[in-house]
Amino acid sequence: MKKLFKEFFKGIGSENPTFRLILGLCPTLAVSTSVINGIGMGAAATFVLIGSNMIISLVRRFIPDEIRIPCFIVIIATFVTIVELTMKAYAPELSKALGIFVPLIVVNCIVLGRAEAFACKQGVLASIMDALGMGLGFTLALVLISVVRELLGSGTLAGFLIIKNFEPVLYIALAPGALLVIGLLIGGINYISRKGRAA
Amino acid sequence: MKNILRFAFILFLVNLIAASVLAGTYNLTKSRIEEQERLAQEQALKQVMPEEIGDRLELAAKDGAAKYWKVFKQDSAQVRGYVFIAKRYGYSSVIETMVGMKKDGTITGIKVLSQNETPGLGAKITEPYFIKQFVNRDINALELSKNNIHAITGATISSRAILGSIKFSGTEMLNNKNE
Repeated sequence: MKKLFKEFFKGIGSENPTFRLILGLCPTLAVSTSVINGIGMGAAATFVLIGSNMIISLVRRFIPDEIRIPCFIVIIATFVTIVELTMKAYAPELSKALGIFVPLIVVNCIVLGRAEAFACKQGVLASIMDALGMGLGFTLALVLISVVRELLGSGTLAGFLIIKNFEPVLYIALAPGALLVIGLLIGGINYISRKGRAA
Repeated sequence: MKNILRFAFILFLVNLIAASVLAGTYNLTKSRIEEQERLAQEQALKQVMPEEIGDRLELAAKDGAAKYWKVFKQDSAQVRGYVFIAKRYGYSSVIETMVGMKKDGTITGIKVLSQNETPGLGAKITEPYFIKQFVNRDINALELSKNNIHAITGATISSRAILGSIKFSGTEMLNNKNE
């Protein structure tokens, strides 16, 4: 039980996919312009992660090492398409806002990375916990980045106007601004965690 | 040799299962997705064409090419306006706009159906303050200027593309309407 919790929390903290492993930066850059998009993308990626990790962990004994990558990709792509169709049917606004980035979860390094590094070697429960933690960690990171970017880039939060009479810093809303924000956040998190270890 | 056949078989099995699952999901969501698309289109049509001008829309295909709607008021057979879709490449994507127009070329409303312009710059073409500028303008006289349509700061290309596409499709439509 303790081990399961460890698998869960490592994705949020010590092995956070965005801030620690620096994986999946492309969708992070693209969708972190608004908090709503960040949460939607995080939820979609989490669902795909849980599904793919669970299935891959279940079938890991039947799949020979030599062809594991194509098998993983087929499994991941299947889950992504399920998410895409479901979103189109039940959340058309969100699916429109996320656009091309939902199908692109197929090539999100986090999903394939977890399949390769974790799910194909571990049990089902541990894999699901790992996926939950990684997904939540990814979502939290997206929210953190998008809060900064939306607030500075357009003066709103989740679509509501927060700062009035403020000329938005367009640069933050564009891709280079995202890199800047991510870099500063990673730096800040490293600084805090290093300080915590020294104390 | 034996291994290759075994791998092929396993890969085949994985794909077979994946395809069956996908076929099932597709069938389950298909009608719902079509319904959502229909709703979205209906909503867009209502937004660009107020009911005072016309409440009956009839889909008409021009030479099987671009589709447009003729607008009638109740049971009258007289065309009161048109709704059409204008397309043009902007800065980083094709901007697709639905435009409602009275018979004399006055714009009743526009709605951006799809675009993928730069967030924070070109993507502002979907915002109400920009969209509103087009209402009640004569389609032949559209231009980016102080007294007409204000372009979005930092997004001249997107502004120009949406305006150009509307003007082009609209004037073409007005010129061809008697044919």
